[in-house]
Amino acid sequence: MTKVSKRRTSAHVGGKFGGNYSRRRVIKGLAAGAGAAAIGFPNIVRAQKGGEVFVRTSGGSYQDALQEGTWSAFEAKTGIRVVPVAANTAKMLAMVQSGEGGLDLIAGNEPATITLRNEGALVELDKSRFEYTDLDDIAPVTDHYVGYSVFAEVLVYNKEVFPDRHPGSWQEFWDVGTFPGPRSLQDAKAIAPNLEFALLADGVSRADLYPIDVDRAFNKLSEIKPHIVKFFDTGALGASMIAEKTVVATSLWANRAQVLIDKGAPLGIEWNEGMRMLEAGAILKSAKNLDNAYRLLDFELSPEPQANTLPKVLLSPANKKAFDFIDPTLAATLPTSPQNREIGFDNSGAWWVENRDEVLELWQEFLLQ
Amino acid sequence: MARTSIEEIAAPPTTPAPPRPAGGGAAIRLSDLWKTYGDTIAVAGCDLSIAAGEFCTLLGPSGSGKTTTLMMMAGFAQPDRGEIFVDERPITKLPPQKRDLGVVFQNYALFPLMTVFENVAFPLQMRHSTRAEVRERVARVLEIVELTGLEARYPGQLSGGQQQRVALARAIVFEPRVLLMDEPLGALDKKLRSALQLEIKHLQQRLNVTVVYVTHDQEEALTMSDQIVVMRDGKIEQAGTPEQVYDEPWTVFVANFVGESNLLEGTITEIDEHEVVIEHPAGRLFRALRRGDARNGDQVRAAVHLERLALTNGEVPTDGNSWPGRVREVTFLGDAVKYAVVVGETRPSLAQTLVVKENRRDAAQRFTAGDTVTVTWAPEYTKILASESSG
Amino acid sequence: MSIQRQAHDGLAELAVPPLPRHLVRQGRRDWTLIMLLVPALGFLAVFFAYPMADILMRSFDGDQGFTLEHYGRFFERTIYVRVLLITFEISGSVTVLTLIIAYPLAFVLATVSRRTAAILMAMVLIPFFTSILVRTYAWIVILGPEGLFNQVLGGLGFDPVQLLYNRPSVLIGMTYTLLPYMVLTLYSVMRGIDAQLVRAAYSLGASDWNVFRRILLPHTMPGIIGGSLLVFILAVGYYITPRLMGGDRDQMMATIIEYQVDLLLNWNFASALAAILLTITLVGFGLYAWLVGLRTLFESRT
Repeated sequence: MTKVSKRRTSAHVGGKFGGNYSRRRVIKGLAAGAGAAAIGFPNIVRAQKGGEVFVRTSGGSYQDALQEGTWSAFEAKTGIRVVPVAANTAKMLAMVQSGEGGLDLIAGNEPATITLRNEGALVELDKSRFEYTDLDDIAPVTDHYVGYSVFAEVLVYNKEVFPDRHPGSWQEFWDVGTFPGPRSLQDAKAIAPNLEFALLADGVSRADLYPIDVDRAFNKLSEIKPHIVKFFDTGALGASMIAEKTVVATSLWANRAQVLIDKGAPLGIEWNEGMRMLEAGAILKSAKNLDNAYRLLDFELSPEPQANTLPKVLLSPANKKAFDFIDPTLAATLPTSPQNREIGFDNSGAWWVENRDEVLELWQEFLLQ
Repeated sequence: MARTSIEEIAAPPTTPAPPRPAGGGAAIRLSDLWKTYGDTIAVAGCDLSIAAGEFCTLLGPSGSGKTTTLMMMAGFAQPDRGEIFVDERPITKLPPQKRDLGVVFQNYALFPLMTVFENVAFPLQMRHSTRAEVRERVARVLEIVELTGLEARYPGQLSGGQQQRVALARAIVFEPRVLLMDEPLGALDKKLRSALQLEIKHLQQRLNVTVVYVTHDQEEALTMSDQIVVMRDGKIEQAGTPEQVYDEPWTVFVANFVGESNLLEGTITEIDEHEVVIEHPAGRLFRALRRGDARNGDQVRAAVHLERLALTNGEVPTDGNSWPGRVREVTFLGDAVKYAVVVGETRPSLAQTLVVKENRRDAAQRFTAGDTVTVTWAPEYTKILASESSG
Repeated sequence: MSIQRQAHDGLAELAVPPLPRHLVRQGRRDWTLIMLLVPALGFLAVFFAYPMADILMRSFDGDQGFTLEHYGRFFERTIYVRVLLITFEISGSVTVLTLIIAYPLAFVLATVSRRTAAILMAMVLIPFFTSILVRTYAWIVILGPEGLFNQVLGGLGFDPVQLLYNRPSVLIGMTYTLLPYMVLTLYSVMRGIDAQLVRAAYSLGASDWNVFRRILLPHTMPGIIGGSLLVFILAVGYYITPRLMGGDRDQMMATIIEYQVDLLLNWNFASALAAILLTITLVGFGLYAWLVGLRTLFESRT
């Protein structure tokens, strides 16, 4: 507490706010607490032969698929134990700022990943370390992150409510006269609001979505808002609302919808005007198992693990070579199949990183209107 | 039936209260009242009539049903059977707030968040008196209980005696038909208790209000009451004036509960106009006052109060009972001395101890343990008790 | 009454002699008391005071050091003030609802035998041994489109209604989870009321209504105020229930603090929001202390 920060010494602040207070220390404390909690976790057994690597997970069927299609093979091959850890962006940032570790390799949607990069939380990737993967096969590859998979956000509807004709575009989704019933769309807390879909509904062509006309998008969202029961702020809520018929149509991640359909929910996926989004892989600066993180990232990106893992949950591999190992009929159902490519569009992570904060501020006000 | 209102006595009358009208109808009457709690019979068939203006005390040990009886009168307990009448109107089905009876509780139950004034004004406000009327009547009743000037105090700021008076004032300010008091002096020390006993009695006489008073203190009952109702195990054991209950106990229980008595057993051997002769198992005879139903050969018990016995070591009067004995124990009481005297020592299994209470007129203590004495007492104070299973 | 009042000083009797000799000597006694407080004070210092101070510091921390911009921002945009008003609105409604439900319940608990009271109390409390998340999801199931309510409605021939994700569902969920705090506070106060006072009032001619208004209400006032304050303060900081059961308009302070922390990573502004929430809570306490006195919150009166 006696350390004096050089950075903050403005006159009216004095030692009171400049000297005694260090943000880093605080975060350190917070993360120490998180670390202490993790020690109690039974599946964390230290002193394994090959060491371990802490990977961010979003749980559910996706984690099962990863365990089955990728991590088991990786553990068998390298002796490195893969430990899944749940964390959101704020928690990851706190881990990095405190330097306490606890998480090495992360995968997340592109805007969140770019946010972390902008906060200086990501390792600049050393491309020479990749052995299993030819990075030329991966799209995209940036200094701090690489594409891992592609998922799609699509229009999902209830087949019992719309047995003959269902909303087949966002314009029709907005048409509550022809397709009556309560709806849901995505909340900012679950990646981002569906501004793109609003613009499509308003007649903007897929090619002209970016840069997004934010005001126009919000105006169009206001139109549908009275028919929105609740904007889903987690994938789980979106899934349960459509599954339990709280809403008759919603935007949702295709892989989520597919899980429901596989369980027997009478849902239909409309791929038309689906939005493809990138899930990116990156390594946190605070990684304590840097080598293992590189090895796992390298392995995860290689064609066979990608092929064994991602299609199961309706995700497209980011490694184009992976398609050599995927049954073509299965490949045709994935977000990046030629047909789906034709009728869908790519989300612009770059635009969102630039404009996300502004949109999020507006979003809160929009919700209260 | 002349009830004196508070207004009338605001200026205290110089003459004593008029005597109670003889033969006035019962102010409150109980008819075959029963109450059980689970398996316990609290009150078992009480019949009781209390005249207007009478001070009636329910006397008994705890568990005798006296408080339950009072609570049934007040309406806080519902009788299983029987009827309660006030002025010959049945009130058994009425809720407490409609009975118009004043109740003074054991712990006073003053409202701690209200001032003395507010406490006393409460029953008047409940009866929708006007503000002026409330002010006037509260002031008067506080004057009667001598609490004028303490209107703004809270009960917590008052002494026990003052709290008692507030409770009393609150219970009489609305001039209830009957005032029910549940051991109202129980929490006070002895001195204050005696003072308040008199005060309550005087107040009752001045207001000529009918009072039903519950206590386990026989002295209090004797001091205050016009009628004492001795209760035991939910039943009325004996009812009568203090003198009757004290001097002519019907049962062993009453004889022992109201005052202290020596009990003598024996068989009637002789009956004349006023007295009977009873033979004690030890072989000695004694005379007792005759009871109408006494017959030769009856096994009876008789009671005689401790202070009715006397001790002598000299001349023995010829006209009374006299038994020789030996002093076993002497107890000093301050104003009196108690001697335990063993009589009939020759046959230990039949020996009897008589307790004699003698007032001290001078400092001398007349006997010590071991002294040979004669116990004497008059037959007229020896009362034959109703036969009953001993309790 | 005065005798009973003196009878129980509980542990407070320890504060005055007779104490064991070695504790009576003044210095030693202070020392002992301090030692007894160390665990609690230490815990509070590490897990309450320090984070609290950190939040305060952070709320004044800008690029150029000390700044009030985060507080300024709160008042610049109507949205935050509106969220604050919504927070008060929801918390106030929940407080009133818990009071309305808890008062008669606590009265019953206080008047039945202790044995029955224990059983009833267990029924109130046992659901609270499970996590708030489980209980909230239970409500989501009950109120859901195929939940109990709608099944009953369906059975009666009505169309299902939307019971979730709106203000009433937030109020139901929060009232349910906060009810025991109100019940317990009121119960402890009501248990302390002398039943003779109620009897006395009846004997003096008071109707049921007057017994309630003149006797019960004033005597339970510390419980009403204490319970309301407790529930209100807890409600103001509520997060899970409004997030899971609320609609888009049911944003509360905690929700937007989370939004700032998690999504916008604006921890300084989030700290300012938290500080404002804390200040309001403290003002609430201050108001209570001024109106009623804090002692009544922690002491039951007889």
